[in-house]
Amino acid sequence: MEQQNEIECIRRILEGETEQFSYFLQRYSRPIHSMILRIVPCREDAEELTQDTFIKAFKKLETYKGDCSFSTWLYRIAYNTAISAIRKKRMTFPVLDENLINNVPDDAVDVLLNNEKDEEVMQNLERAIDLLNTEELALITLYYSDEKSIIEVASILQLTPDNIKVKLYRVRKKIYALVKNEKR
Amino acid sequence: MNQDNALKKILESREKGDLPYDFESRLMKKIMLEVKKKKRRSTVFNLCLVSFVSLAMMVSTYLILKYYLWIDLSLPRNPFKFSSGFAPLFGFFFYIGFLVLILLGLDTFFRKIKQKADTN
Repeated sequence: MEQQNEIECIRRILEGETEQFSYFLQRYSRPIHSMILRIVPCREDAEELTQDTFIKAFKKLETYKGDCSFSTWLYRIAYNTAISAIRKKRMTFPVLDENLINNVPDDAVDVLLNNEKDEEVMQNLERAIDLLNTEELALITLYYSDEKSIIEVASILQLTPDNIKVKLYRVRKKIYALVKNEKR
Repeated sequence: MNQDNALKKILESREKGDLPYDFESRLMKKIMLEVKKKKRRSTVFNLCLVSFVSLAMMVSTYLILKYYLWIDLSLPRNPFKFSSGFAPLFGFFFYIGFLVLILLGLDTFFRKIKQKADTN
């Protein structure tokens, strides 16, 4: 029903009722800004990228076919806009040894990532999250914070659901490895 | 996997800055400007297209008449012959032409002023 309303709204915008676009602004500007802000830590940049996202969405509105929800389509534009802005800044992220990540036991990861009462663990986790690259950060933000399903995350990041599952599995292990690496 | 509460808590507590109160209205203005630009671009494109097609038609008509139908299109040496009797009329024609141009200029000028007043 909601998607039908949004498609109707898009049809009216394309027919010339530009002011209808304010509906999408009111509805999605804050969640999109919040997602970008978690990937791009600078407030000014995040605001500008949110603006760019909506302008791009407006320009490409006729390419929206309705095969996914409008929010997924908008998140995809936001993600791509944020990623290209970060690439331009040429930020570098630490690379961990693959063996170190592969050797992390699953049970230990579960214990660490659910230990929300230990202040020290929380601080270590926060530092580890700061060391993740943009794609990994977007992945866990969309999945844990925005509570998107695997299929939605896959559609936003333009990957397959199986690929997303594998990446999530690896990111959890990477976070564990980063926490342990920092302790040494 | 979705149960990783510590991870969820940290992600939710990370930077949560809000957008300025006038963000939506500012963005809407930009979008309206974008619409105007798009319209202007399409007008210019259409004008260019019409000019190009007209020119192409004129050229092709000329070529067909000259090389296909063998019609002589050369102009006579002196197509306009003015006798001295017309001389006093030229001044009058120039005066009328000048007047029309001034009136058209004034019309455009006042239209622009009215358009500005309407948009404000």
